[in-house]
Amino acid sequence: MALSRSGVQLAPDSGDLLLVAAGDDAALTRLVARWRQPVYALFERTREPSAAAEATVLIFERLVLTASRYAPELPFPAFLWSLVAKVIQDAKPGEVLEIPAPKLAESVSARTALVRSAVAALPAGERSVFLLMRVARLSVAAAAEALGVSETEVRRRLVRALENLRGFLRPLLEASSSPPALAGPDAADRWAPRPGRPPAAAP
Amino acid sequence: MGAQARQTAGGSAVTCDELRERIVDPASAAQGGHAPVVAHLEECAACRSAARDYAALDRLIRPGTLSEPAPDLEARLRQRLTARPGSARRSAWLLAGAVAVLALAAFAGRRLLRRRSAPSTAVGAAPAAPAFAGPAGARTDAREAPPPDIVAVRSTPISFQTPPLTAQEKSEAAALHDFDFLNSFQTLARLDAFFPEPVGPRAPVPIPADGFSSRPPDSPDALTDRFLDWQRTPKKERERLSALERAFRNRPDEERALLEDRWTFVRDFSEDQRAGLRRLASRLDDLDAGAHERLETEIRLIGRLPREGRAARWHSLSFAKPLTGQEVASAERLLLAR
Repeated sequence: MALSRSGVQLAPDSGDLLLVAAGDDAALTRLVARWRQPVYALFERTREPSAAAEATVLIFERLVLTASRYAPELPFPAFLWSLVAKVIQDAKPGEVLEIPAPKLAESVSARTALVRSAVAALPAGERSVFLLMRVARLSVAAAAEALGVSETEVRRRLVRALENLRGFLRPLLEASSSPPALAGPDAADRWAPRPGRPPAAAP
Repeated sequence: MGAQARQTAGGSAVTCDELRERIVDPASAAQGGHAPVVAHLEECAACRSAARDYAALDRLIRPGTLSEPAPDLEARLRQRLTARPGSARRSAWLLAGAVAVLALAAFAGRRLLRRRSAPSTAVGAAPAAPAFAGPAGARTDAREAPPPDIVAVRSTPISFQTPPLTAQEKSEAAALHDFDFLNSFQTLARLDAFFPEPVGPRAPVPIPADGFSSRPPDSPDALTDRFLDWQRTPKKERERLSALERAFRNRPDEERALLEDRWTFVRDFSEDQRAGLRRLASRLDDLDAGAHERLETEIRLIGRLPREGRAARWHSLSFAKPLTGQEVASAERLLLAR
């Protein structure tokens, strides 16, 4: 574990980032190993896997390039998530896909694509708050720090994001609240949403 | 929410706006007590509906299983860092390349001088100019410079300053399967739907008489190539490939044979087509068991069609509709190869 200039023992991530700034490859490997999954998971909610992996690579590249500017007083997660927030906000809002209900009912891929497109269609400020809080599970305070806005603004943006998503994802929300149309265990299994996956629409 | 959102519901102490900002943040929901929140929700159907939808949206967005990026993420990161203009890593590579070029010039100069007959020396030609313009103390006459063993392999400059491989390094390098195969077998393992087994008991995968093409090098030429490749492979990349090799060898024998057999169909794919296969594997990961099984059945049927009919049938599948052109083309090539 690295020591800061003041001699205080740093958290592993902060210490490793200082080592990265000094050109330590092993420290970079450790940081990537610890943080690749949460960063990737966040991007994977707005884009398909290969594009999410590309965005994750971009984040770590920026982390390396900005490591020399890192002040160890700042918690590492705040530094990392601020880079992530910047990349999220740089992406222009897309269009929500129009997918016919039967297609949504039969295809997990279609439902995943709809959810991704809906999140990607949010205005940048709302999208970043939504992803940081609902996917990366940051607190309001941490999200506010990463985004450089007040906590009140974070809450407002999150509500606006959720209200927009209610509209974008209405077909999936309605399907998730209605019971399966087919009776019996087979039907229940067939249409039960997988944990964390978009639920199937009623057939 | 509109104008209604700014009103209080009945006699409750919070407005719809305030309520929604509180329920999206558990920490602030508790501030001021739960009573006003509960009272508002009891009176306001719109906020009850919003609260239900917010919870449903959370379930929609949160992945149930940890989604992992492709294992080559760190390698891609290092590649990008190396490729950046002005990066220390790039400079190191450029320097190594420049040294190799100078060494090649020195080597060629020495060969040339050796071939020259006595008269050329007799005319009193000045000694060859120093080939290596390093620090004065380190200047070396080209004729005195030791010839490099190797200056390039398949047009890639090799720094002859790289220390030769130790016996242990050679042993590690010789044990590895084809590097492209190692980079691909995990993707191949996720493409079950595109390699459906015939219905009925599975026959063991026939192993070719001279082994699979992905096997570790076994001829003198193949070993020489492998050692040269290994010599110019950075330490991290060596570790990554060794880890992949271990992961591959940890799989059961039957599965290893299956993956090496699958490799024979894709080893000639272009980089672009392999990228398409990786994306395709991610798409398959998103399918539930039922959809996966249906797709496998469809693919099995396509495999029974004459080659000329396979592409059209593949394009007509609902699974293929939302795919990118790259994914569709990669799958098509795979279906035609089988």
